[in-house]
Amino acid sequence: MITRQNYEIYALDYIEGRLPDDLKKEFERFLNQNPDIREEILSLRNTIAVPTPGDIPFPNKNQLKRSHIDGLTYTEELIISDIEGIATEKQKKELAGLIAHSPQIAREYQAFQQTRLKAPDITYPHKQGLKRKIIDFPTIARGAIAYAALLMMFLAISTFLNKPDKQILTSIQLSGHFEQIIFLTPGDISPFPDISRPVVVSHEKEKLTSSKTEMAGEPTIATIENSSKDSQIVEKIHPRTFSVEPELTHEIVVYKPSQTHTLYSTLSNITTNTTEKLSTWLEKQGIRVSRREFMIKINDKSYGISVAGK
Amino acid sequence: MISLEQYNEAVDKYADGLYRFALKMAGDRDDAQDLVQDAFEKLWKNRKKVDSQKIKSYLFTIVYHKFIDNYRKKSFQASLEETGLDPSYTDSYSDVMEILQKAIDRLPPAQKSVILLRDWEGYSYKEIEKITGLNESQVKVYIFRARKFLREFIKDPKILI
Repeated sequence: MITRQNYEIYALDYIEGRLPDDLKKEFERFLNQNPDIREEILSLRNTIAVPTPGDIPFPNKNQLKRSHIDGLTYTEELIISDIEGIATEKQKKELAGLIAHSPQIAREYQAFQQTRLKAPDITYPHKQGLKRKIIDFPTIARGAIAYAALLMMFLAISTFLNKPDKQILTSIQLSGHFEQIIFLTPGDISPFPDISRPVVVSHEKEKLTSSKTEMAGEPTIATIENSSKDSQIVEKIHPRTFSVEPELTHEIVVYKPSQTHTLYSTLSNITTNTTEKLSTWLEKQGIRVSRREFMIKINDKSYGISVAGK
Repeated sequence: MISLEQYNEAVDKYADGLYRFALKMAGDRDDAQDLVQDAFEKLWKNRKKVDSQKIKSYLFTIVYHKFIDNYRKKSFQASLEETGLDPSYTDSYSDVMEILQKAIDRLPPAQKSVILLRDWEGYSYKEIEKITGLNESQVKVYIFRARKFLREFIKDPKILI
C-alpha cells in the first residue's frame, strides 16, 4: 500500500514510466487523494529529462557494424543481399532506412544495381553439328557424301603441300569411338545408291595402315591394311588425292552410326596455314566448318575442323 | 534418361548460353567451342544416366569443371592473360556494360564463373553450388566479392590497371 511515508519509493519509477500497471493505478489514486504530493511529483517530473528512443541517435551506426564477408562493409553486404534477393525483411527495412537518410548510400545502391551482368547476344555457331540422328540409309549416304568431301579435302591438302618448306602429309589418323566402321572398297556392293564407290562394313574399332600405289590415268588405289583383324580392305580413291603423299597412314574409321555424318580425323605434319586454308576451302564448298570434329595435328598440337554434310 | 528429341532440343535451348559462358571463361572462341562440344558429347554418352530435368545444369557442370581443369593445368593461362585489361582501352569506355565486360575478365576464375552463372543464366545459389561443387556460403562470398569488385571497377576503371 502506498502511503505518505513510503510514496517516494515509487515516485521516480512513476515519473520515468517504469511502474507496473497495477502500481501505477494505485500511485495515481494516491496522488488524487494527496494533491500536495501530486503537485510535488508534477514539478519533479518537469525537472527530469526523460530520454526517448531515437532522440539522440549515434550517427553512422551501421559503419560500426561488421559484414560477414571480409572486404565488404556492413552496408555493402546489405545492398548486395538486397540486389541478390536474399535480404531478410529486417535487412530490407534497415537498408530502406539507410537509403532514405543517406544520399551517399542511395548512390551506392544505384551503383551496385549496375553490377548485374547482362548476357551478351552470342550464339553458338555450329549448333546443327551437335545434333544427332538415328542412322538410316539416307543418313549413311549423307555420311558418305561427307566422306567424299573429306577425300576432296585431301586433294586440297595436296596443293598446299607443294610448298618450298615441304610440309609433307605423312599420316592421316581418323580417331574416335565408333560403333560401326565403314570403308570404301572395291568389290563390295555399295549401300549408298548415289555413290558408285563400293563399301565394306566392319563392326570393330580398327587401326588401319595404308600404303599408296598410283597408276597414271587410273584411279589411285590405296591399300588399307587392317592391322587388327580383317585381312585387307582396299579403298578406291580419287587419283590425285594422295599424289603428293609418300606415305599414308589411316587409323580407322568413318563415323558413328548414331552420329550421322560426322567424320573424325587427325592429320599430322601440316602447317597451321594449311589448316586455315582447309577451313576456307571447305567453306567455299558449302561445307560447314567448325573446330573439333575434324582434328588436324601439327607438331603435336591439334587443330580441328568439323566436316558436316552440305 | 534423355531421348534423342530431348537431346536435340537441349542443343537448341542451351548451346548458345553454354557457349557464351565458355567463351567468357576461356577467352578464346576455339577453346569455348571445344568446351561446348565436349559437354554435349558427354551428355550424349551419358544420356541413359542423366535426368532429363537436369540437362542444363549437367552441361554447365561439365563446362565449368573442364574449364577449371584446363585452367589448373595452366594450358589456358596464356589466353587468360591476353584477355587482361588493355590500359589504352580504359580511356575509351563508352558505357557501363563495356566496363563490366572488361572487369569480368579481371575476376578470379571461381568468382567469374559464379557471377556469370548467376547473372547470365539466372541460377540460384543452390544450383550454382551443384554445378561448381562449391558450398553455398562459398558461392555467396564469391558473388558478393565479385559484385564489390565490379562496383569498384565501375567507380574508376583506371584504379585496377
